[in-house]
Amino acid sequence: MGESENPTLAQQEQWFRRVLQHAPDVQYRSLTVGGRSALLIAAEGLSSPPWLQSSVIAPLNEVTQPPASLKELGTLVSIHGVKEMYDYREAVQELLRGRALLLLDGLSGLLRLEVREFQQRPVEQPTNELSIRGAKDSFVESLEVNRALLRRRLPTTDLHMEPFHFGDLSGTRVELLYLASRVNQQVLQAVRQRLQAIRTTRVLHSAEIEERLFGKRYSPFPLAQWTERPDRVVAGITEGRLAILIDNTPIVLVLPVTLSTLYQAPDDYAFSPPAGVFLRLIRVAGLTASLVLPALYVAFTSVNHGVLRVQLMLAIAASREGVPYPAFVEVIIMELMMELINEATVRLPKIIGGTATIVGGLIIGQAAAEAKIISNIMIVVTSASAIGNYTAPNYTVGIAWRLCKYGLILLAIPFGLHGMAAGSILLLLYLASLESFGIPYLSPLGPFRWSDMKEDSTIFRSPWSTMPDQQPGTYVPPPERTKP
Amino acid sequence: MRAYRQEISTGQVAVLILAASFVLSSIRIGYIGFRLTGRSNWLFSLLGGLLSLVGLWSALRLQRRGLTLLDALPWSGWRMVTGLAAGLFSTVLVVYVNRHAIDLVRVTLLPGTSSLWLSLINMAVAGYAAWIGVERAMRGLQAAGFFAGGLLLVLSLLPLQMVNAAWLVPWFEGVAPDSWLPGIVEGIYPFSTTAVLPLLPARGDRKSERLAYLGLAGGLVVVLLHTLMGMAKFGVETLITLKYPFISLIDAVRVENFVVERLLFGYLVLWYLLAMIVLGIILQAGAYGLSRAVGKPQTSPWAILVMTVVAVLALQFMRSSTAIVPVQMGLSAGALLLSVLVLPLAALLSGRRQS
Repeated sequence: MGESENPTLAQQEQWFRRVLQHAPDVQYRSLTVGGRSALLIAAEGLSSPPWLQSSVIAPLNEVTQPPASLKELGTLVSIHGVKEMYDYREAVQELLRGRALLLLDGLSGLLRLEVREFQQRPVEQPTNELSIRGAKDSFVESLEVNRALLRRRLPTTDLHMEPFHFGDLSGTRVELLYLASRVNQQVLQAVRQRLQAIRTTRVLHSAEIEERLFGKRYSPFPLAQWTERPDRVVAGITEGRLAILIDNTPIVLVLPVTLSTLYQAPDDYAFSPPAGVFLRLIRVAGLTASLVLPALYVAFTSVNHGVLRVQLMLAIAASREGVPYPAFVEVIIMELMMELINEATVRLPKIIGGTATIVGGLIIGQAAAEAKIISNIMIVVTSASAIGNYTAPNYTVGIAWRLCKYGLILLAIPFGLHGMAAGSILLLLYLASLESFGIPYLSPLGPFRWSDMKEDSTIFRSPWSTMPDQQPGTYVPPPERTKP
Repeated sequence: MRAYRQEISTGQVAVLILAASFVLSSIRIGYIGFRLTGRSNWLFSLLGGLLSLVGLWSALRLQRRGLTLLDALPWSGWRMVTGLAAGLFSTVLVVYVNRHAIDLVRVTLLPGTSSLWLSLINMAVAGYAAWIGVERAMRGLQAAGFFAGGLLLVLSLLPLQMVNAAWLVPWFEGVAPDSWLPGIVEGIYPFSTTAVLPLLPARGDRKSERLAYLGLAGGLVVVLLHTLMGMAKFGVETLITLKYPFISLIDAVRVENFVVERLLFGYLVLWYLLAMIVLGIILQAGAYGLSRAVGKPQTSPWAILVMTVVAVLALQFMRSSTAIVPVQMGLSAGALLLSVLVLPLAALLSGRRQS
């Protein structure tokens, strides 16, 4: 139905009914506006019927003179978001996104009415990123609500929001948020270009946008930070980073990111500086334990027997007495059991999940050791490794370390400590080669910049009174490094 | 595979010099230097450090102008010869360090393991460090230094509890005139990496150059500490019989009622960590020289691959311990030649060309 035509209301209704013949959720309601026929079209469940009744139908029923133009018709309804439209195919898209359409006989074009209202989750406590002293709200699946949560914390005109649409089928709305005075223009330009280059038919998950931002890559390490906490996003934005809000997901992406950023938790800044440093060091210790303990066990028991002192070695050997296979088989069995428990607890409902943990703990712990399937010391190693992994504030980076752990175990089987050292160097070099929109992943440790370390509070968290109120240099890319 | 050029900062140059001095000094062969210069060896180490200062100064002058050694040379024939020589020098240095790394690993961590296996592992790690690019490898080295530096310092200083300072006296000993030149050549060995510095693309500026000099000063302190602690623990007569004096020094440290009894394993793992990244950077510098010699403007990954394969093959021919002495002296002579002759000349020429 073209712009130049002036069809009757019946013809327009017929066109809509034909195009939407397989959409039973679309409702049509005939009205009379000042003695002339009108048609209101809305999608069931996406728009608010009481709102339509009180703000559109009721005011229009009271009109005595028919409006002469769409503009005049728009003034008769009590709704702010009114837009004249002449492209009917685009109007259909708007209808399916929850807006209502109002057509009046004798007028070409129609009015798009902003009456979207659908069932959604209320703002609740975060489920993945808990905080003891921080805010208790988290993002939901509505972009508008998420945007409002951020706006409430940053009521400034410096906060810019750039809209994008992705997915020919899903038509997902995405918004790029940043503080114009703090964001690095190089990074902003690079992110914008990457977003504009995304071609997809649908976006259902934040990971789809995240992965597409960085092209074809198989790295397990995240180059963007995902969070469900508005305070973390605001902290990131005020540091000059960018946030990507995606409709229909309760997750917001923040980028660029460094490895040290992923190891910072909101509570680091909620307690005293010494406590903040202590918590971070605990996380580093947790990371070390989760990454190297199982491989070290294999190295010490299978290859490098002479490294530990004799008494300790004898204790390990005594613990392994009766276990009918080599240490690496023991480690692999235990680690796989831990992965099974992990996966079961994440996937199962909370009530059953608790049971699974207890059953798994009993089987892996007491029973397996008594049956001489594993040694007691192996239980200590596996538990320490698993608990160490849970200290990672970012789940994705925790999974990445878990994968690396298996690489180190495999290298430790034939080459012991030497293999572990070689594997650690490869891992370190790999991390050093990663960049998130030009920002080195190991920054500010590699390349080492003392001033950035202080500004960013990478390890030694500064007191609030001495923390500089500016963008840390960590998130400013060095010259000639802008690619993701 | 793609070509790349990433520039390192002056701070990274400093870290590289410090790490390389530590790596090379730890595997300095006792019976070469101390046989030549006796208890005056520390003086020749100091002299070696001062001579490499000339090389560093020249390298920084070139880097300040955004040039590498091969950019500064005026004639294409010179560039080809120097590029090939740099490639050869780097390969020999890589083979030499790898040879000792395998030696140490086979003695301590993996007795009886095939040296070819170890060589392949080491070169795969070093090759990867070279392949990701010098700046990225330097990031890894800095991060490793941040986490391992403190522990390494503590481990390095632990032998102080066993030394007898009186054994350092007398500080000097007469050196035969015909041992002077070999002594100087041997003295520059721990600073050999300075000779390949001008092959690494760096962005230098006058303001931050003092960092690089600090790095060299730190390297000199490390070398002197190793030399003097060795003398104060073993005495010169014993040192002459030892292959790796500083490794023996660390091995002599005993801790009671701890998780481990010998700290050598931890020390070697940390040494290995730094050594492999330094090897990668040396490999990258040599590959740059080779690439330029064959007319490529930037480091070709193929050159890295060729050098890595050559290094593995060359090591199989250098397994006999008798080959170590001439190789070490050859490396040091090459470093001396580059530091005090080629580099200052190139720096001067580049200044003239620019003016």
